[in-house]
Amino acid sequence: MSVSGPLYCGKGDTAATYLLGALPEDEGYAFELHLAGCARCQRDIHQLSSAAEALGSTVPIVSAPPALGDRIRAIVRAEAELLQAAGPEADRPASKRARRGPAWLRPRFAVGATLAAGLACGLAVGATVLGSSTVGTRAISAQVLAPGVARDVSATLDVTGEHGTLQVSHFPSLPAGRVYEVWRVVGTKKLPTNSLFTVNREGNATAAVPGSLRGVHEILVTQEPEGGSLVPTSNPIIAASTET
Amino acid sequence: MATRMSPFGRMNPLGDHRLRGLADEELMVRLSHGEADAFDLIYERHADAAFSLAYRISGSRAAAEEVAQDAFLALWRNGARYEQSRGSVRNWILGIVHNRSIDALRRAVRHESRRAGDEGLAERLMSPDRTDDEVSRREEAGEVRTLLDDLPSDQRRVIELAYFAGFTHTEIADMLAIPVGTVKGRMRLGLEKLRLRMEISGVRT
Repeated sequence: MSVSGPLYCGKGDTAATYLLGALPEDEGYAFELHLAGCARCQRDIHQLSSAAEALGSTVPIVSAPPALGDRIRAIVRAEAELLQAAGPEADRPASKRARRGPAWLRPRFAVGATLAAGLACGLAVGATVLGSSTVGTRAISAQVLAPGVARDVSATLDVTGEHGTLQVSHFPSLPAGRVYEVWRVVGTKKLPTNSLFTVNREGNATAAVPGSLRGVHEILVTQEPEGGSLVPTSNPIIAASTET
Repeated sequence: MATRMSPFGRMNPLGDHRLRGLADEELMVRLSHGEADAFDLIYERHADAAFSLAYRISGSRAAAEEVAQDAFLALWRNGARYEQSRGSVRNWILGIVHNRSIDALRRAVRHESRRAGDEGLAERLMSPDRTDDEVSRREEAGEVRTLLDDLPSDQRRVIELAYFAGFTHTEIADMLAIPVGTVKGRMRLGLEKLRLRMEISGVRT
């Protein structure tokens, strides 16, 4: 099947440019937002990704240094031994916990608050009803900090007691090797969490904010490489203040 | 083969020999449950390819080691994020390596001396331990390389400048003195032709 034909979205050749990693960061992010709502570009990505992925295996083979393998295995074994020593109920390494993602990808809350649509949503406090019983949950509408975002993109931080859960709607899917990462802001420090997530086909996801929100005045989300980062490598795309 | 305890204290019913007989996708399931032995085998099978791609992009052994280490530790800690429906384990790993290599490259803003030049020639050694799977992978990699080489040179050039050298479309446009739209069009045409030729040749991805 050809990918040529009428251009419904004005992004005709951008999928290939994106797959090759040739879009600057801001354009790449704008395209990812566009992707969420463009069937044509999704089809282009689907069709061309196999060719782009195959490029990685065409390079001349250079043997990895034995010391590299020794170093990596030593880290893996050390983490494994720590876990073993801590027992089966112990915390996994930070990002190891995050990989149990499906549990928090399942929608758990019915968000009843009306969310402002579009960009730079104002902060609003509403109420959320969980199942048939009323729960003391504040639904804080977060700011979506991205240019060119679709009108129906939204993000909400549900706060119950000292704990928070982030709900995102109609966000763009990310390419292989990229994830969304949740950050806690304490003072001027952006603290990484093990909460890494991707969105489902509809662009929705639910991500728990690990730990207590006590002392945390803002929750951020950035786009990061697979496995997450210790410091943000991109600008926040979601910001939710907890001080409302 | 004796049953033995994994580093996580879980009984591993498969010995090394039988573990080696498992496909990558099966090893990824075990890795996602914390089996370090499964990680060892995944590393063994894909380390050279991952390091080679990182080295090709960075042109520096030190940078390539750093990228490869980050990528494999991310795999160890997030193995459950692998989705078989999105392609092979090798391509998934190489995708991580590519993204991290380009990110590192752009952070360093070094567009000189990053190609694997003279330094790399002596190090382009074939791994001595070539399993049948590895031989197959390398034959297919060679086939894709041939298909890439057979693309019209203007299309191949923009693809290589983007994927392997980390240049953006605007940088490539400036470099080749052509419009950005032309660069993007050549990228699309090149990838589309490569995909079609891979399908015709039966190259799996």
